[in-house]
Amino acid sequence: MITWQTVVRGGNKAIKIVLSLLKFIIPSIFLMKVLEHSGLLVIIANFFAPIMSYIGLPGEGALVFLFGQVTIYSGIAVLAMLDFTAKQITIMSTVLCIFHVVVLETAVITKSGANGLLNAGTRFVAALLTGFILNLIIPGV
Amino acid sequence: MDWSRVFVETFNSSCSTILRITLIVIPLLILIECLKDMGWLEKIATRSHGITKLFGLPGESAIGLIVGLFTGIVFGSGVIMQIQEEAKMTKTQMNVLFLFIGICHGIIEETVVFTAVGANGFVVFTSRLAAAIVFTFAYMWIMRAVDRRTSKVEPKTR
Repeated sequence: MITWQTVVRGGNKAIKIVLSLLKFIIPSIFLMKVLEHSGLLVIIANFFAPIMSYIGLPGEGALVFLFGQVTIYSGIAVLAMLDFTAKQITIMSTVLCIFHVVVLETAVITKSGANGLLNAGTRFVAALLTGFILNLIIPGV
Repeated sequence: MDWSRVFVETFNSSCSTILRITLIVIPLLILIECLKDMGWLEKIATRSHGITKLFGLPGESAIGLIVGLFTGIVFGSGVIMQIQEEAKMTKTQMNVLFLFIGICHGIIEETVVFTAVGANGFVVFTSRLAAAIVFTFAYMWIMRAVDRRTSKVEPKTR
């Protein structure tokens, strides 16, 4: 049964999520801006560019991947700031969807009684392989 | 480095990103709560016993799979731990279940939010589901092969 309480409960949860996101999104964006203006972003991007090119992404993708390990929304915030093409955004999103916040999620999984290392390892391989295949099959740049 | 520009740009980017996410997350979570109160998750779960059988899992685990798929790992594992008290799944079955959920969870929320920043939601969703199915089956096949080999070796050692 849907009552007014359902809507209120959903709204409250959403506001809680948004408030907790502020803690992560603002520092992530600030850090990215510092990296960008200090010229470090270019250095990091160039360092990761050869590896990231296998999955069709520019070197900055490594940073999205890294920030996505804090919360998925930090990763999204960084992704939203960068100038990626539509294809690159789709690949990056898929890779991040499969492999994100792995330390926390693996802890939960291990506690539930499954093999955490196997789980995290498979997710990592799955993320890279899916990115690699998507890069081959999605048309455009 | 121009600090004033860093702060101004941080402020602008933060406002637009948070606004974008807020506008998506609020209606989405209300929708999920509505679906929960309508008993929608249970309805899907009773219809997906066939899928769990495909993965060699007991029928009771369907609700855990569906909750994990639609909400997230934390809720999903809570439900699975409750199921586990009665279903007594083997370690391999637990790994199969969590491999699937690990790769593919929170699909509504995550797909929609990524669509908001410009991703093709259909591609993200389908390829993620495909990856989950492929890797879960790969693990199952490997474990079956290992089981067969160990059961063949055992009689010789006796």
